[in-house]
Amino acid sequence: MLIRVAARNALRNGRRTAYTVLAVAFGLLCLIVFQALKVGLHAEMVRSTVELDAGLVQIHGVGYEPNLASLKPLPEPEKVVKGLINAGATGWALRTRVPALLLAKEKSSTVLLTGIDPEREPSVTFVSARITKGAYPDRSGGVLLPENLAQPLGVGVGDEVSLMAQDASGRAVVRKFRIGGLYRTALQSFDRTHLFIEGGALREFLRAENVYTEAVAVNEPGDEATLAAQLRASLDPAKFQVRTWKEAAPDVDQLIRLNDSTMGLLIAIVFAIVAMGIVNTMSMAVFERFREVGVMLALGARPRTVFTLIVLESTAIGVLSAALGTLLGVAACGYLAKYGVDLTSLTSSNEYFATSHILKARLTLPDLAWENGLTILTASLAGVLPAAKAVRLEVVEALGHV
Amino acid sequence: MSEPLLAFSGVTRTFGAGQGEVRALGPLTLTIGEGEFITVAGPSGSGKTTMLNLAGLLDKPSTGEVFLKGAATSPLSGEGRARLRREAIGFVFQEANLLPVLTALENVEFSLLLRGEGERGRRERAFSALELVGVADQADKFPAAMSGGQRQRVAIARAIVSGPSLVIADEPTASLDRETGAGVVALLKRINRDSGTTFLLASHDTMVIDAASRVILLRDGRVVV
Repeated sequence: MLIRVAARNALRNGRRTAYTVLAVAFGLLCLIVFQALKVGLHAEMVRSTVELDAGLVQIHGVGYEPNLASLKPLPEPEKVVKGLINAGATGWALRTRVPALLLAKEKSSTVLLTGIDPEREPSVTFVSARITKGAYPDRSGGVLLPENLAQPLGVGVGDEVSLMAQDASGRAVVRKFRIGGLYRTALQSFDRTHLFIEGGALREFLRAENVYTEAVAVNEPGDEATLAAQLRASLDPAKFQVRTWKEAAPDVDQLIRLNDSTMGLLIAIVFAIVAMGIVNTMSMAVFERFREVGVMLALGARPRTVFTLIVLESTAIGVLSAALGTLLGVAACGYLAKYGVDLTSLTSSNEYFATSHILKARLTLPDLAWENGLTILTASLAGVLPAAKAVRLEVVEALGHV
Repeated sequence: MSEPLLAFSGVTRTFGAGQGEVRALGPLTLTIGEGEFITVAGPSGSGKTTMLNLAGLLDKPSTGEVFLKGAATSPLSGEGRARLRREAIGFVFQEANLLPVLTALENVEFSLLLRGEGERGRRERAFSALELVGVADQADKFPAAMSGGQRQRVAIARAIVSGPSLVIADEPTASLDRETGAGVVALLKRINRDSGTTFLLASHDTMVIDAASRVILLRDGRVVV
């Protein structure tokens, strides 16, 4: 019955309640949309990081560093592969990666040369889908060059370039390779440095038969911790270092956490404003009903009953607002999930958007649940102040209120 | 002699402090027995409402003591006084003061809800009370859709539904026309006679004064008669 009374009280001054509900619903709408866009943004950033090169989890030999000039072999690659299969990785590949110098005509450029398994590598990166000319590396030994590098060097598919690197024994080796294909990921920093070649050809060039430097694995986003834990359990930590994408690309992880903090601040500000609006509405409502409160207290109502009634009324406003805000928020997110926001002009040179420049909203049920919970909780808490004021009323004074 | 239902012993009630202090009532010493139908009469400002507020445990005396069923009420906490009001006292206000968002039936039920009664029994008892006061046909109406007399009858039903020992009514006919007022007074009198409930009313209305088994006349906060 108290809920009925609270709900009817909430609807008593329809216009005032409607304005409050609209204001709170707008706050929730903003929260739902911003949160969904943020989740979409983060998903895109993670996807770009993971699918461009890093994978969800990387395995190297202990002591490996990306800028080592000499080969740092991955020990027991068969054991690593077995560990990856057992851990349930949906995609994995072994790579041999060394820094090299690319010489073309009179020009040169330092690059990162990666020997890949053409069968497995497409399961961990999307580079194979970004071929603009020629073909993905195969057993014929052609090198895949980024367009952004080929152009200034004045070379193209079918031309020869020389690559210089340190072989397995640390000696400098140079060999000519034919350019088999060109690619473009739209991420200039990546495109300027990454060259790909069939792994066997690279290892033969480096005189490093069966030498791999890293294994990369992918799974569902968010599975990195589980996958890494399973791998760490099966691989000797004295020999292997297992890193998640968060450890391999801490800048992305930090940026995501920074975004979360900023969003938290924004939520606090929006909901402080929302709470003040409800406090104002409820204070007005309670002030108008001092006499009714007095009657209830005279009839023997416990202060906590009056308190509950007012907080319930405030909660009812929260529930109405949550329903409207959710309706509008879900509709807006539906649109933004389908069409997205084109951020090409803002992200074309940004490594966090290598896979797509369209930011799409990603609404999740847990997000929708906490957003609604927060709205209703804010509304309930906003009722506490007016309710506390009401229960402190002297009965006689309240009964005499006009 | 049986214990009085309500007793005032040297009760005063003052408002303000220092030079601005005003004594609204007392010193007042009197007893009210069970089953009495008492009208407190007197001009405006004579202390009628103050006396009723003290009798209904809505207010505390400045000095002296109010006893209900022989027990001093001053030491009681706010919650203790609220409990006594729920269990032993019914109120009828000048303008009915029904909760506007509740129907007639729900208004009466509300009083039982405060006593913690279950929904099923609550509904039946509330409807019986409305039948008793003759407005059962208004059960589903909201106060705004009822006449002043009907509202006051619903307020009476709300006051008596829990079977209180004492019903306090402050100017129960003041906002009603004479004929409707007469009906309300007759109703109160009938309840008093049939159930033995004690009534303490404040009124200028001669009809209410005439109906009383005892009249307490107040002037300047003191009992004159």
